[in-house]
Amino acid sequence: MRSMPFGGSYVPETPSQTAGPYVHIGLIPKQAGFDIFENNFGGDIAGPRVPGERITIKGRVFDGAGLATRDVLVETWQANAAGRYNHSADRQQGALDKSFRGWARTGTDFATGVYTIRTIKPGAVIGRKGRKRMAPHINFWIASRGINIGLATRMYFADEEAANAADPVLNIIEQPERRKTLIAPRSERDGNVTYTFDIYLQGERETVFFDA
Amino acid sequence: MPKASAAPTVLHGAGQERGQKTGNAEGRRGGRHADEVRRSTVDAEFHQRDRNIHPPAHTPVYKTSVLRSPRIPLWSLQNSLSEVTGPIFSPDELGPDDHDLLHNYATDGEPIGEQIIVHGYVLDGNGKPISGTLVEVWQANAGGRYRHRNDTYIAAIDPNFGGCGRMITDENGHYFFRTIKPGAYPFRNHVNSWRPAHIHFSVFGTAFVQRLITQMYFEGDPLIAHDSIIATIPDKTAVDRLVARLDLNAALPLECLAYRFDIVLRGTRQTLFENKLQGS
Ligand SMILES: [Fe+2]
Repeated sequence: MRSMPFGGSYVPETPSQTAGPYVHIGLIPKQAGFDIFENNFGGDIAGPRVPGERITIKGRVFDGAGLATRDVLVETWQANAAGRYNHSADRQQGALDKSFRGWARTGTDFATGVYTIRTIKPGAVIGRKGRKRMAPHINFWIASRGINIGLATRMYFADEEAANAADPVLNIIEQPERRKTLIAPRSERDGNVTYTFDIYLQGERETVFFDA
Repeated sequence: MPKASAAPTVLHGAGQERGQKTGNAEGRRGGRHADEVRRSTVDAEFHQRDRNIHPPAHTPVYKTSVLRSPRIPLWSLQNSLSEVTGPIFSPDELGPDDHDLLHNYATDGEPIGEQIIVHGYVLDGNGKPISGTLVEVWQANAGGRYRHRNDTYIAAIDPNFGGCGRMITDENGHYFFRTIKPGAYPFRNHVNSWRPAHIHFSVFGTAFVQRLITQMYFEGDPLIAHDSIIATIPDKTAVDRLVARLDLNAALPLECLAYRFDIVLRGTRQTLFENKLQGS
């Protein structure tokens, strides 16, 4: 696996450009009312046999004027219920479920501005030092017109209070107030669990975004 | 097969371990703690992203960015498993014509316009090809019109052109697709703002921190110098890397021209880390 020694020539990354107003036709064509591919990637990602608590994540993405955007691409990446990512770099002991990729893609709705993801609640993943687990979380990545380079954040679960309080990532955020921008409240109706995760691009409630 | 989906070293344990078992044994070596360190070790951390080659979030030259740009600095986050993993796609998830924009939406003929081949390699910052990664593209038709309900430009919709495609890089990190050269189109930045001909690209790599969306332009397009979205990139040599070069060697004689566009995603510090581990 030895490749180029450190100090070799690095190739600079290709620069980012905005996804533009028509990101839907490329990445979520169904939302643009455009039927082209037989198999479409979407926001409902846990099949009936995937273990874990069924959850719905709903939210809006607000711009700096407080307007709910209606054209933002939302992608999420998460571990399974055992806290394991479906990826070769994850060598944790938790059970791997090949039928659960853990990746969702959707957009904020053209009419309501609400995005919806249906998935399972992830388990806790071991942190980078191997000493303690990170609190359960879902990685978010958003892109759209006006966003020059995709924005990365994390959603945590409000009902994981103890785990959140010990989470190494939440704890690096200096202002406790700002940690709250990443914690999604839980609500239950007719046995359906919904977490609400609103993202604020700018302003008083600006969401914490990461440079990972 | 993509390297990233090669069989991992799976350590099947009985049930789920608990991180708390090691308590606060900070610095303790061997035993269970060493085990967990190994399992959580990110053996390929990514180089920090060089933000100077990307557009910053807030670029008044592109007006829409003003209200959609975070104003508080991004929080730096060292890589954990959440960052170095990412979705992997398999070729059998795609249809046979998904990469052929000349035919994947056509009903009664080929789309109007100049047919071209676009191809290139997806590499990481160490120059290593990224095989098995998903590349998705979308674009306007020859007249500069998108098949999108929000696009109201006067250019006609082409009944035989959808304007999107997707493919997975081969074992050498190579991708290619056939399409028609997109037209320039106006957009409401200034009254007389025009986008140069471009194709939107979305790429994954093997880790979620490599995720990238960008746009490819065409060598020689005079509108490149006037575009407000290109102008968001402060580094002009970086802009140059978004311009696809005419590639006569890949053209099909008497049939169509070709353009070459290589995409570089972030690379890892893997070698350094391995050395460090072995040396300690
Ligand atoms: Fe465009």
